[in-house]
Amino acid sequence: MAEHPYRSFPDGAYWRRSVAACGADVDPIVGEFPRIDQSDRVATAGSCFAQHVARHLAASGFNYLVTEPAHPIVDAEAARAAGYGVYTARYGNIYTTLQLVQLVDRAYGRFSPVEDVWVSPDGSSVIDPFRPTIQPGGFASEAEMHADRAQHFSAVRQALETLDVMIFTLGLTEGWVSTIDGAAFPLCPGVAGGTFDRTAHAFRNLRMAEVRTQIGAFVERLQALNPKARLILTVSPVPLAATASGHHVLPATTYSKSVLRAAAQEAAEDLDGVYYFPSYEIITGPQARGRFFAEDLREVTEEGVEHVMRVFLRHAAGIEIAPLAQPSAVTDDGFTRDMSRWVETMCDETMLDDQNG
Amino acid sequence: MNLLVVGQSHVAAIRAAAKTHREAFPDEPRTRVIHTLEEAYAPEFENVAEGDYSAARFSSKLRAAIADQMERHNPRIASVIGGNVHNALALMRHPRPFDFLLSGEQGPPRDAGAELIPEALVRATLTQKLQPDFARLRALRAIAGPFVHVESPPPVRDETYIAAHAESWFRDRSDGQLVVAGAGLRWRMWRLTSRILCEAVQALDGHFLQVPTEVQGNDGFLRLEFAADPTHGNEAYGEAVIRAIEDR
Repeated sequence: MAEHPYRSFPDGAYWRRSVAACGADVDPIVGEFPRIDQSDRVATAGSCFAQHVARHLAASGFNYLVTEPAHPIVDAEAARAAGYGVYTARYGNIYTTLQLVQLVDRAYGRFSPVEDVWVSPDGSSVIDPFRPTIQPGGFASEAEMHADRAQHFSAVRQALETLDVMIFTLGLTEGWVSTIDGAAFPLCPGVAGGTFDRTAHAFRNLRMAEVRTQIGAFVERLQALNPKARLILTVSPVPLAATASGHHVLPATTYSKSVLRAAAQEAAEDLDGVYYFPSYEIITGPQARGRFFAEDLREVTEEGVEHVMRVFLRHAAGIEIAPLAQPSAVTDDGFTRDMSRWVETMCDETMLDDQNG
Repeated sequence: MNLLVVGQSHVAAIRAAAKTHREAFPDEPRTRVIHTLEEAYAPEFENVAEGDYSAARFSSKLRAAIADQMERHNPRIASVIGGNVHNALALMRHPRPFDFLLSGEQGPPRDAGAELIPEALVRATLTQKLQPDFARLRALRAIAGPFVHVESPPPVRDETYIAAHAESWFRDRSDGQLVVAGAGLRWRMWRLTSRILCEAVQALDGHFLQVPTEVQGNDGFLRLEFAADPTHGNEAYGEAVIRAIEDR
């Protein structure tokens, strides 16, 4: 039998052995993965899928870094609804790499968008265009929004300067920007505040090279502030709620996720201290046969999230969590439990569909 | 006109003023008070389970006492229910100092060194902590129909006075470090609580009666000659409130 390189490859290199044979329980990590000690300060940010990562990290004994906690007098339910503790700081969902870089630049006073105040849809309150759903009902006044934002930026700076590991979930390539200064909005103006203006707002669908460059720009800024900081990238498996690309939302989703996935790979290969964790593959791969998606074929079930986190904890922390019992059928209780958890995950991208529905 | 004033600690000022008036003018209509937390009515509520006051009503003893007063004296009903939640949160400076901006009003300046909490979250917190008071208002409405609710006393501005006279409840919780919260925060917490209670009272078809202007200084804080302690009015305050209820 002739010798060739494939003969020496481990099981993980072979689909039949490591995917088809494992089914949904696949563990697609090969080689080294960064270790996270319990003393490491772990920060999270990204699209709505990152909320699950944050929730599980906080519950798994990690030193989950929160630099903008709610004040202890604030009612816990109200605090969570206002985005406290959902991520390391109260920045809400950060869908694009453009937003991520912009956040750093704004926090350090290097960029001040011209359009920095919106009015709520009913005109009764003030919305932060860069955190449009962070304050239920909006801020009472511009002064309050600015004061809260200043406090938020302080928390962002503290996070960037003190974290040991940051887990960032790449969510989208599509977004809306200001035509005046390029400021990136998490939601299209007019959806959760502000007024859409065709001359002032433009659609952008980031290319792979742009995403890769922006990841590099973020890492450069992060490591200049905090040289020991490590970055773990993941790609959200949650499909687009809506696309403005002009394409069908299915190929638009494939484009978006492909770009993010490829950019994450290149960043992990090119940049020191940057890693990729394949949560996207665990949820969306054919081995899962779609079982980790909820009825809407978009949200990820709690079972899927738990499997992702089980793999993550195994490799990052050497923690082995027992797999969940495989449900033979969907039960009302399980459904209710999953839905309850999902309701808690505030994915404001879905507002796009609410608006059009 | 006879008055029946229902409440808790703030009935003390009313009771003292009513007693003095009764002794001076025994033949005139009387002001009577019911303190819902007095032992004779305990437990105050029925139908409260695990902090859920949604189905709460006053105890049968308390209901009977109020009904008896109404039947015998046909009084105008007034409430001084609650009125100390804002003090529990902000009379003393929190170990993690906070402040907030109150929409629509100037008031004293914000404590620049304190953490900002959005007004909506302060409101949510107050609303949650006011649930027992909301239940009291609903319970009174169920027995007595629409009533007048009197705003709680304004804060005292003088921090030295507060520190010297702080009630044991607050002193006990200050861990030996008795630091009075800034006047601005205390003012704003009182104002926001008043707004929330005004909405609650109006939702019950009641009338929210602001404190008489005579008890307030030019800055809106409680004049010291009307203070019994840092959080309550004295007999003179009670007399001014009785007149305001009568004039309503």
